[in-house]
Amino acid sequence: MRLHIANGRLIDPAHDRDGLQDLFIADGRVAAVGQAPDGFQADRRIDAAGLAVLPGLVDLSARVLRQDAGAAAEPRLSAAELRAALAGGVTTLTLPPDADAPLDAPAQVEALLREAPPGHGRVLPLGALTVALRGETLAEMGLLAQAGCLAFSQGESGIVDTRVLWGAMRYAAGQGLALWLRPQDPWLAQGAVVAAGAYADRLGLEGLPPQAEALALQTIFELQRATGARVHLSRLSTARGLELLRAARREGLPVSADVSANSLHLTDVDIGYFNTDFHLRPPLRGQRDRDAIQAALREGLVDALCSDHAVVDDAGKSVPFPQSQPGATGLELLLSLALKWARDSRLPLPQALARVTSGPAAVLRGLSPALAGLGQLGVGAPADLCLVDLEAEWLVTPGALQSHSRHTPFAGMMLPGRVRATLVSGRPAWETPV
Amino acid sequence: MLNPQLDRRGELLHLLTTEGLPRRHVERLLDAAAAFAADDAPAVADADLPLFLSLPAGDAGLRQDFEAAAVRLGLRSVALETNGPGADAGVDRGHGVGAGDICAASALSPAAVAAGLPAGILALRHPASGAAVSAAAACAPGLRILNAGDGAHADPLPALARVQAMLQARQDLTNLAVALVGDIRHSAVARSLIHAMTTLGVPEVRAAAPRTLLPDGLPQLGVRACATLHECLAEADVVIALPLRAERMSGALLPSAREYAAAYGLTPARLAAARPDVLLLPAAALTPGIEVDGDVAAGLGEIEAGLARSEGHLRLAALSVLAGVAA
Repeated sequence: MRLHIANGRLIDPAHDRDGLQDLFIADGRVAAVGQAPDGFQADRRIDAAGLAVLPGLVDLSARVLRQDAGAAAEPRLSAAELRAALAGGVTTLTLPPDADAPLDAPAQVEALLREAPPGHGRVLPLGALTVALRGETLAEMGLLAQAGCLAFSQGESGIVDTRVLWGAMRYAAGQGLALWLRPQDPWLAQGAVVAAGAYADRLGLEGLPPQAEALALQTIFELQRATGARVHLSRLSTARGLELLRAARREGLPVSADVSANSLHLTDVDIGYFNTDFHLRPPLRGQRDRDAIQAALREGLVDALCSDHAVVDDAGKSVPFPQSQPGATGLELLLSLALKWARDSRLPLPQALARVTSGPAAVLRGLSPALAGLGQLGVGAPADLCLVDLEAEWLVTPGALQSHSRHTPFAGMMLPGRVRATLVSGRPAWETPV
Repeated sequence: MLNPQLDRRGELLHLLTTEGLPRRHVERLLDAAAAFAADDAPAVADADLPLFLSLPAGDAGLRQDFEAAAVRLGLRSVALETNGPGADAGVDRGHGVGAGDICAASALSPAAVAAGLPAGILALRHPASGAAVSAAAACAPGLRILNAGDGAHADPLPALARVQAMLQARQDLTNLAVALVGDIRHSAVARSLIHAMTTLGVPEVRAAAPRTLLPDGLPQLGVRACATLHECLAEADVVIALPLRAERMSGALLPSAREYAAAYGLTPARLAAARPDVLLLPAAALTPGIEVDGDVAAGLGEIEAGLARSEGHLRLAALSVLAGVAA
């Protein structure tokens, strides 16, 4: 199908574009920007007047699996969560392993990708670094990579045994594979449900000290020096952790990083009176950490802003805070939270949008050259894009979201920007009902 | 953000914590308790109002206390089978537990328990911090929650009983130096006591304990952490001895109860640093030879009995206040 998207404000951070320009799409790819190619005959013309045309968002952390009843049931991609991604303008997402779906068997990964519902965005699974994420035995990283895993992760489980981590990094480096780690010392994290600090002490909740992140980062960086392994750091949350990242980058270690949109906007005091919608991993931290996260994202020390999307049902949140399930729905909020950040911080839109498009795309490209072209709208790139009403404000109403998870700390908040339509490979995949 | 225990007019809906509890409510509870102590308080008008008890199965004493209060006030007590033995293991009287200690708790969450109840009062004790707040958030408008201890977060009644004891001994709280000695980190009573004392204008609250048992956030609670026990006790008007549950603690917090006793156990010699007429109040039952030595423990019997009576009067006061708004 040949598409002509006319009269839109094209914002393409990768090419430093922000202006009224038409976009021409043929065979699922961008055929031209501005002027139609010679002889171009559009099958459909979409009038995007009053809308912004953005590259499809790239979300580096979104759990979009559903676990059917029955212990033996294999995890499957959830149609509702993939719809939520498209409704949020997200056309590419990475799927981390978790305890329910450790993604440690090549056949499991192949089945997952094979049975993906039609018309969805791109799902890039992260394979398990160790069998069942137990941190004991290396998973079959080579075979998992062949099955479609982008990089290898422990999810939220961490690795207690440093010998295994060292082995994993040496092995992965030897195979040219990358690790995707959430830096957190597992011992210090035991029992912790909020960030350590005055607020945790006031509520009588066990706190996670910032040293948990710093210690894990020091270990990872030291082992990178020894092994040369490439590492992506998922959801940094502390000012100290960002300082360490800065030093590691200056040193030239092969490392990239993202932060969660929750940590970009919220702090631990937002938990209020034990509001479990604010029980997140990593936990919300203090003002100083949030300021450091905003600064690091602004200057590009951190490559990407992710949604940290997780499906948590009512049962998981309607128990006392320490027993509640961490996580929040986020795919449908990511774009608006990036726009809110731009507005609050008076950032140029392309700079803010780069952190949800070209920034994360560059991380993916660094891991797999086959993924070049994502997160941008240059000629020849896959035509993954979304049309956004930048002027629209919307009230976050959990019941109105596409996601099955109704829990977000932003419920009841007015946010800027509304996705009107999303295209994947030049095909309309989502249109927001008016 | 609205305080979940107050309605929009600032009236008491639930008693969840002493934090953010306006002074007039604290004083109303203390005054009502004093009236019960003088046997000068009426029964509740609505005699059929239910008092639901969601308490650890193992804490028979607390259950009996609530049942006796219900009889005194003409309430109908209804025991709920919610807290199983798993929850029981994490709860002591007067001493909360950290989140890390929570194992299998009740079959139903406090929110689910509260949501299923009709108008009345729910007395809830639970090992998770925030349990009472989650129950209050989920319950129907006619149900009032009385927090009888949630984890390390809050335990208002024993805390107010200690405040009552201070008032009886000293009348004026606004010139007192109060020393907290022991495990504040895991203590719901300590938190509730600190907030109540702050509200009532106690000008100086200090604390001493091994560093692992002192929260870093003490200054934000208005408490000065002292480097030594002597500094904490010096010229103190009131000393609060917090119970130690060394067997519950990870070895990363404390080497042994014996070592704690050697460094922080209260002895007559150590207490001599305080004012001569110092009032020593246990935050909960103490173990002679650990938090206090045998000589000090021997002198606590009358104080403990008085605190238990006072807590009973505060229970009556809280229930009658909540029943008043519930009726």
